[in-house]
Amino acid sequence: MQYFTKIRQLLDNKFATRAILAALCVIMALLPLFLNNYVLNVLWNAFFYMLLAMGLNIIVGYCGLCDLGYAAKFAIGAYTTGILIKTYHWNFWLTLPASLAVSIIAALLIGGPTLKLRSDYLAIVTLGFAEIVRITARNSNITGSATGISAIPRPSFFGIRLVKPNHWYYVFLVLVIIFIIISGRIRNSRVGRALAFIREDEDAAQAMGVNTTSYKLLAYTIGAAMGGITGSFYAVKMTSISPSSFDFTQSVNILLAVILGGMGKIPGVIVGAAFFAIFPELFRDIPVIGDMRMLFFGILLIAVMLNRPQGLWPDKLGSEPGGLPGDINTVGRR
Amino acid sequence: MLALGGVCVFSFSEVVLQQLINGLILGSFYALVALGYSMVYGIIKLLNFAHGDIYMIGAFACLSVFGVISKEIPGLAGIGLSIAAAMVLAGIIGYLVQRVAYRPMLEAPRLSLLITAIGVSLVIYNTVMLMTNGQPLFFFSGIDNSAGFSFGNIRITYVQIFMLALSATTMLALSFFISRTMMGKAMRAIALDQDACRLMGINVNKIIGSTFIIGSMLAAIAGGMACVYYGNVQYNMGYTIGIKAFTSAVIGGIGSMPGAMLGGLLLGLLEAIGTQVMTSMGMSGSAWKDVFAFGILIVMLILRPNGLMGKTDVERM
Amino acid sequence: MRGKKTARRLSLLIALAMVLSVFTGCGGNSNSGGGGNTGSGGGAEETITIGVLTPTSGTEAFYGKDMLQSYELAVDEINAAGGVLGRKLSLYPADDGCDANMASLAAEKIISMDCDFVVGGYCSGATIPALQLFYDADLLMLISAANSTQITALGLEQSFMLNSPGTHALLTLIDLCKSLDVKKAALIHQGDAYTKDLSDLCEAGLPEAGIEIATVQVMDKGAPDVSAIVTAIRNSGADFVYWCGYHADGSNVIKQLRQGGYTGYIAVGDGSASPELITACGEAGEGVYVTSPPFVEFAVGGEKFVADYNAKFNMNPGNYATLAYDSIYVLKAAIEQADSIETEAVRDAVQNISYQGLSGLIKFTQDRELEVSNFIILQIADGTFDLVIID
Repeated sequence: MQYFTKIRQLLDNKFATRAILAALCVIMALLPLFLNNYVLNVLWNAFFYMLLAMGLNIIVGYCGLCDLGYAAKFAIGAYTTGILIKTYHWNFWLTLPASLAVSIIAALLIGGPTLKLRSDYLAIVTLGFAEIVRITARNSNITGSATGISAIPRPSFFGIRLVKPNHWYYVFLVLVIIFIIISGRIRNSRVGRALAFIREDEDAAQAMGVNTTSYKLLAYTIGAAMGGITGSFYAVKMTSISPSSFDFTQSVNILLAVILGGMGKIPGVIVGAAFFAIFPELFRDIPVIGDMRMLFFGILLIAVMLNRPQGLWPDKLGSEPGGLPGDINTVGRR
Repeated sequence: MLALGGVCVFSFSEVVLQQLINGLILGSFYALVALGYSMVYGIIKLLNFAHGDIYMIGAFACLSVFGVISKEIPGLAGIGLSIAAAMVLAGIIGYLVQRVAYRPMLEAPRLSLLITAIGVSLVIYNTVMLMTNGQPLFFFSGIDNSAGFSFGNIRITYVQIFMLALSATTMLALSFFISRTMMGKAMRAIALDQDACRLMGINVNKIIGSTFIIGSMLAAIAGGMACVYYGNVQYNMGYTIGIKAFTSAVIGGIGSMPGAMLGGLLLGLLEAIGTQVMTSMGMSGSAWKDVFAFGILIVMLILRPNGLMGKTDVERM
Repeated sequence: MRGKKTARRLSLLIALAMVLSVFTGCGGNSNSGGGGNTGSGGGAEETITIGVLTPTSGTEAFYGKDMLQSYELAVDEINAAGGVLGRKLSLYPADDGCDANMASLAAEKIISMDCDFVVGGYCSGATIPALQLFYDADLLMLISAANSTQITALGLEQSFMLNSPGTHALLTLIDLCKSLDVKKAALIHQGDAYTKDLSDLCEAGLPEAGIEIATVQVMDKGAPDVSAIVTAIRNSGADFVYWCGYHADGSNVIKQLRQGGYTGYIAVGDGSASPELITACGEAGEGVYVTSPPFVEFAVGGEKFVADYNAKFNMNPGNYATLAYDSIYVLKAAIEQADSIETEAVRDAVQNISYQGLSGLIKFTQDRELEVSNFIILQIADGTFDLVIID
């Protein structure tokens, strides 16, 4: 505990923080020089789950909406990019605005009418919507039916064709930094405070004049847009996408990453996603444990919920200064 | 070796009737599972994600017990006993899950409770998957599943009639239990106001425990029926029916017992008719039937958020 | 102010987490040793390492493990007989979890472990992303089970499919339909890449042979009720039903077809070609046709394989065991022919190979698919599979 306080004090020191941050940026940027492709790809996978988890975090962590179909948001982006590149031969970078637009429209269409509903109904609506997206992708010819779209060409960036693992490491590292900035900005803005208010006590928020439905819709749309963009990059990184990558298990995986780390708190989400992505790789050579990872995650999920319902590293926004992180629970009681 | 029976062309009414029978049987599975969802939701406002997995456990229990006792007690008696044993086991597991994972969470935010339920579902699902290597187990009842009545081209088998009768009896018994017994009254009271019940001297935890036991037993009946009727049992059989049953419960109005039954039957019928209509239109009906079912769910929630038989209720977070 | 501080701390911790993850990643990699490049042929004493890409966790683990065991059996046999070119073989199994992400990580792991060749490939959705990586790393892969037409459509010349593609199943099916004088066929698949691919091929190919498609239906995994589908099929006037799915649900479909009063022919694809289908179907299974890759029982040397497999693993080999077993022997033959383990030379040797394995004659076309269909037609009669010969 002493060490923890010391670390805290160190982090409060502006100069020290900046120095450490700068050093870390340099380390992260230089890492590809020392690591082999496998480790880079593992890190890439961690970045990928971080992006998804940060997107879902806006919906679940900031706003307290339960979304059990986040894989669909990410599928919409991936398929938009995949179809535009393969069928209509668009440039990858031009598909990004298109994928953003489609994601936002889809989120508005599904969120607009249903966000007024009770929170548990929302869970099942998002789940149902995700199934609709997956089944439609599976049954339609334009999405390549059940086999999906393969051989999506890799894009170029200022003349460099993005083919090597270290290229994608940097692309996703930059994306992670952008997503952290976006998430941080939202969290500390007026919108972020309104969302936290809605999460803690929706009725009170409404009574105080917060337009809860439109703020919820805003959070839902931002989350979906972030998922869509991640999906677009995923499609060109993997060069192939298929409906099986976007099933319910995937939605649960992303939710796990958000919940384990701590809903609402960016470092919590980052750590959760990194843990989720790296854990199976640690046990790759010990199959007995690797095979049981989902069972392990299930037990961990229950244990975390029972002991720290707000995740291992929860958000403290809304609790009294100096209060315990768990204090948030007292507000959310029924 | 099998004589080709010629191409039989149904009349329109025969197709409709046969699909109604198909839908009714599917719907009775949905209804039994939906009842458990609805009871639990009504009483502690929890979307019990693990309920479909309890159904799966029921099916496995029925299969295993029948495998042991079928030598001594074959046929219908053996099946009945196996389903009863499955009910007991599912009841115990349902209670344990409630006791270990849900009870400490009753005061926590609902989102946390829901996530705990997903965790429980992951644990059960993966445990069974690892235990069975992901392979199906097959059930041999020794009863001729294809024996039955034929009216023109319409067919209904004895097993199907038995399934319908069993689920109808179960649902009637449950209605009686909820409306006429003290415990049923207590359940309804807790659904209305937990704190008031506590003040009135009702042992709330005990009643919640009983609700889980009864809900799990209903799921086990459905699981046992599936085991006998379809003849194969697999770890992933709980997921789809879990979602469909929840959809049924929502369509009927979650928290309402008659609503869950109505919703289940309705969803079963809609799926069967939907498959037929889309196939007749030249589409692959069964490929789109889930899109159809979930589409109905979303439209239903937008138009009538409280379901067909649900009461208007202000959400209390 | 507080918020800003928190934000700063957050970013710091993220970075910390990343560093941590890097260390763990390195730790996992520590046994790869040296960090030398692939491809360089070492001393003659070195073992030849074969990467194995199969799903050994998750929903398809059963098949992945079955394949892995078959590889182990073949490698042990070869090593006991003195190895290849005087060098021992060793396997490096990597779990792809039947998932695209995990598969690309597994592929990178195999590449980083300096493996010389790769075998495996069960789920095509997981195999396709991995193939691209193997291609970039100049590694040869023999794909034992996955047989999606999209794999060869990728045009990667260092990957060969040992399993007959769906087009071969279609040709066999057309032969069967013609001999039975089928007018209208109904297809049922399970919505995943493997079964949908087969169904799509049949949907396109059967009409060309003069057989009308009555309807195409889907039975999702884990949703056992197909009564509505049965009625729709009966109403469509189909006199032949082809089940493209797996044996887990196949018995249930066959039983419900018969219960629902369907009296026409039923045939099942290679996903259902398992002795378990017979026991699970019981009475309803009589007369059902199977378009199947050769069964172990019908292969030369099959009995010995089953006995050896049983002795080693105390279980019966699964559907893709023979293909997996043959993959290693094909690789051995190619290496010996090339007298080297250079990818280029072995690739050319595989391209020209002609090997009679348990799964039939293995010989490749220029598209790197099997040249000769190894499909046979079986029929269930009196509780066993009978070979059906069509002139």
